[in-house]
Amino acid sequence: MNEKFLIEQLEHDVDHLLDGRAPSDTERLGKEYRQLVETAQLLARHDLSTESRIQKTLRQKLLLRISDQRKEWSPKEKGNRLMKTRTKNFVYAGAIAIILLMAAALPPVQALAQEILNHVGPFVVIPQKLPLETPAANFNPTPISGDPIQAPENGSGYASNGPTPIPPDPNVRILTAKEALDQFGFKVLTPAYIPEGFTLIDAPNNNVVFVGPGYMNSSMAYTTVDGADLQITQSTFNQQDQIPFHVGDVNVTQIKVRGKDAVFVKDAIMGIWVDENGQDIPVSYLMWEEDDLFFMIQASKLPQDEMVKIAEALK
Amino acid sequence: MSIQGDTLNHTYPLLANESDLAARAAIEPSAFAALYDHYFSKVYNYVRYRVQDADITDEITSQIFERVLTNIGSYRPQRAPFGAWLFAIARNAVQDHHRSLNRRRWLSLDRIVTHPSPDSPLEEVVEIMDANTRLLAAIRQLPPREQDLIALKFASGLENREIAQVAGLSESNVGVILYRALRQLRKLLSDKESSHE
Repeated sequence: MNEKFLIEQLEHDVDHLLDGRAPSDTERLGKEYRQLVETAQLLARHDLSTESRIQKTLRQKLLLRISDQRKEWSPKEKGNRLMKTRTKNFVYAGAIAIILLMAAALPPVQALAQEILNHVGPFVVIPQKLPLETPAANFNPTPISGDPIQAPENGSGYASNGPTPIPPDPNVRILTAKEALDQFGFKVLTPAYIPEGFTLIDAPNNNVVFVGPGYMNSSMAYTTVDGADLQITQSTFNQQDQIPFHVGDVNVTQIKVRGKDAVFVKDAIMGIWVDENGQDIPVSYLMWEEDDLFFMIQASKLPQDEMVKIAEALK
Repeated sequence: MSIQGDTLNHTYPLLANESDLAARAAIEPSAFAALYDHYFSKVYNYVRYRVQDADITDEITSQIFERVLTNIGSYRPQRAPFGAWLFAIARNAVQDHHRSLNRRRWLSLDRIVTHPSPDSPLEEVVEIMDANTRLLAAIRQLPPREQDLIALKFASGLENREIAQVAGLSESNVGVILYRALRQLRKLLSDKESSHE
């Protein structure tokens, strides 16, 4: 059996292993090949990240940095920066982080089936008491500077020809709301009412539409000078999805919004929405489906009636 | 409404693609958190394959994510998949470390810390030479290029095509190097098992 064939077969089998699938029938390719695949399996299973002592603290530190940056992008903050004192840092770690964290930390969804209360859009909202994160310890990694992607110095690494240009990701497009409407019929609803003090964050990739294979979503993020956050998102979704959305031990109520059934989660505290002191900040969610789209309004420091008012004013 | 394609990625429908997450990560901690949670272990393992000490791995991993956050505002999904962009940063950080190590090699205690001497007590040797250590020790006996490609393949999960782009090699060359590196690794592990017995 020639080496070229074995190399191609190994690439195929290793990619299968890394995708969590079984390799091909390795026996037919001989003992040595089978041992190679076993070595690849050993490597694929090998996870040393549990020995890391910084995973949580680094995460919190970086999220707080984004929070600071976010406030600096607030147009009002830009004007008032010299006069205002920021009182609190807000970590806007939302549903994605919750899903990923809880998926790793909790029993399978099936085991919690009896606790399922609400299914809206792709999410199954599950109120449940959760252990809280430990506040971050002080951790200051070595500061670095310079462009992160540079050519290695000649003679100091094996690749002396510099970084290779990486091709584009053809699957993702970023459009304006008008382009999304014109090209895909995806109409972004914008709020005719926003509570006083909130301004649209003036940052790249805010208030745009992401278009990928089989999905579209838009997001508008607002903030205030004192660190309150508001985000309005709308997206396509798969009707069959039942993604667990663990909101902690809080009230979840069904209400009507825009004539639709909606779910309101009041002041969710899950141990990952925290200020710089590690104190939890409650965040409320309002979610509903409309015209085959999923809508979510997330906000800190806003009561239910204000969030409903924003929803009703989407046009 | 028409939507192109039928491959849905619905781990989170509001930001269904990691390129979307990366594009929004500078502004949304939630998006950055999702990327961090997904990639931390991959990046850590990549670095751990390439350096000899867990504390140094932590330090380099933190530098990588600091760099990612510092530069993520300039990341453009239209230009590169996020994973390839991230591991280009990771790879440069590891190379920076090796360069600095070369400059101060006389200070390094890494080898002493992680490699027991033949005179070490048996219990100590047994403790150190557990499965992970044996594997890491075997990987570190490979040439640097092979180490790098093994790490890019198995820690980061990149496809050969992406590794070729990150490492500046042809795709077929990557396949050959990985194949031969695995053979070397297999032999090293077998030798170690034999000597361990």
